[in-house]
Amino acid sequence: MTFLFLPPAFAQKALRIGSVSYDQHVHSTELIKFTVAVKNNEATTQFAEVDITLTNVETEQELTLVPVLTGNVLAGQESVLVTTYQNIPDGTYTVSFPLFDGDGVRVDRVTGSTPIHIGTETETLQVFPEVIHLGTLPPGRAMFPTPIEVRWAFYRFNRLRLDQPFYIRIYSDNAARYRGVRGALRRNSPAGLVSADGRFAIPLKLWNLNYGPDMQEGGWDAALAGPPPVDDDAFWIGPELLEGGRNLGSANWVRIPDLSEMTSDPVSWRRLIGQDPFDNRYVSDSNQTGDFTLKSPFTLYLAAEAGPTAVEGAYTANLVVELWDP
Amino acid sequence: MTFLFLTTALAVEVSPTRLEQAISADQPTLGTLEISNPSSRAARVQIQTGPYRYLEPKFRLPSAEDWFQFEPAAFSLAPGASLTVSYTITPAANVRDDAAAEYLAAILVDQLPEEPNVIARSNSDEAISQASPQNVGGQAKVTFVPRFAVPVYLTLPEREKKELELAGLTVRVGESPDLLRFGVALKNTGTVHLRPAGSLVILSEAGTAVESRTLGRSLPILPGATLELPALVPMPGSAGRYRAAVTVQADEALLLQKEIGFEVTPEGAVK
Repeated sequence: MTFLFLPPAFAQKALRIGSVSYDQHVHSTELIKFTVAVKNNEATTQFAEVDITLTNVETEQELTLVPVLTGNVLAGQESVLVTTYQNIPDGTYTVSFPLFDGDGVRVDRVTGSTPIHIGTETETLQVFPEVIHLGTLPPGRAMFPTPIEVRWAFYRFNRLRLDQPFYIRIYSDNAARYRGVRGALRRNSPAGLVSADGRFAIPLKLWNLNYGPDMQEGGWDAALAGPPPVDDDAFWIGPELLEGGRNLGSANWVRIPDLSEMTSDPVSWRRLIGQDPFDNRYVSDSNQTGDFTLKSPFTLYLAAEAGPTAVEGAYTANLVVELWDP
Repeated sequence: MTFLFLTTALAVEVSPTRLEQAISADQPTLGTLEISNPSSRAARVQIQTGPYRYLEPKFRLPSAEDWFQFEPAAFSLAPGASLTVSYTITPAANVRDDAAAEYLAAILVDQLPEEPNVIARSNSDEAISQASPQNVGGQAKVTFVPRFAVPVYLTLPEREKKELELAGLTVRVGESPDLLRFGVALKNTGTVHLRPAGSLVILSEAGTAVESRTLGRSLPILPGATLELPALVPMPGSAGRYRAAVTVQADEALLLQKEIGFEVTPEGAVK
């Protein structure tokens, strides 16, 4: 029987990251300050190295900031290591802080709970195409295969030097020219397409990647297959509930409201993208900045349902795509 | 079905992106907006006012929507060009006798498409009869109008009163067991909107700072509104008694502070 003794590997030192902090919203020319507290639970002074790593959320490229953050931590003490970096390319990054001991062994790793957003102040909005001729609306539901492309850029500081909340929302503006059927008991909504004589309206719906449940819940992989089919009520109206009825809030195709129907309650809006760290509908432990933006440019699709009571005629709509921040 | 694509709706830039201005109830106030076209194609721009759309529901907001006049209100911008648009704010006659100190609106800057959607501009018979005959029966057309909405806050300095009440500070376990969720309740008891900012510090029983967070929001708290600012903080590493101290500043002379004590049990509960 032969015993082979291997030289012992470097034992991990008892070093831990206590806390981290960093600037979250920075101009491209500004210094970004990182602060890392490292606790040494060993009986001797230890060398600590933190290789701050940024990962661009769009390109997924990693960037390790150099020179790396280093320092000696006294036995049983906690040291606060501080450094600054500059000229990091514009973008939004997640941050991780791997900690290495003097032997190059990684002993701890902490991930920042909020991203770093680096940019230059700007606010732009473009929509392509400007006008879509939908041709003849077929009876029933129809999706218009022309994707509408929205290019956007938004980078503003708020008073705390964090991301300023903003929304891009869409609505029709038909109330001035919609008059309904004279003598009708009920006045329909002016949202969507309005006939040339202002008497009739056909609602419009839209879909973009922010709408509808994910594939595990809804069964539709939008990233692969694009907009879901309009003929399936689960996507058009909402998935069925066990107790009957449908979950209208989980529909993939959502109605475009009219400006006249919108109130100060954001539930009445149709928000395409946005970021709001203080709206609990979007903020979670994994999304503390309330970010529901889509990479620019993003696309949306339109669909309409010409039901059995739809009236023949020429229909038009002015859809306003609005960038709004308070 | 025929699809006709036209060129990109171009981006214009608007400055300022928010208008917070002191005005007089008795005489008009003048100001300017800068509209620029950094793109490579000409842009048609239209400026009008609209109602202010705030995030808190069920709020009655005094409106300044009808007070604005723009010169010019519609124009074309060549590529790379900028234009200074002058506006005149003329308060309504009843403002002098009104009690409100702040009036709100939105300035809407629209980029109009090259192909106008020639339809009836109103629902009158005359307007409808003048609608373009290009809309052939059975056809449908959608026009997209990119819009920038500049929120407007107009204050009357003689009625301005900035007051803020720190109504409460609460703590509980957050959405995951390793987080504490603090709630700082603020009530605007003044007459104009405020944009408070502040910080939250967690102190151990010995008085050393364990954690700190900035808190606040850039969204305004309107007069009479109550707002809770949330703050998520990692659970302290060890059980024991702690203090949470919050400092909120809404104005140079408006600084509020509050402190509460809480206990983290070995099981991770908060008392």
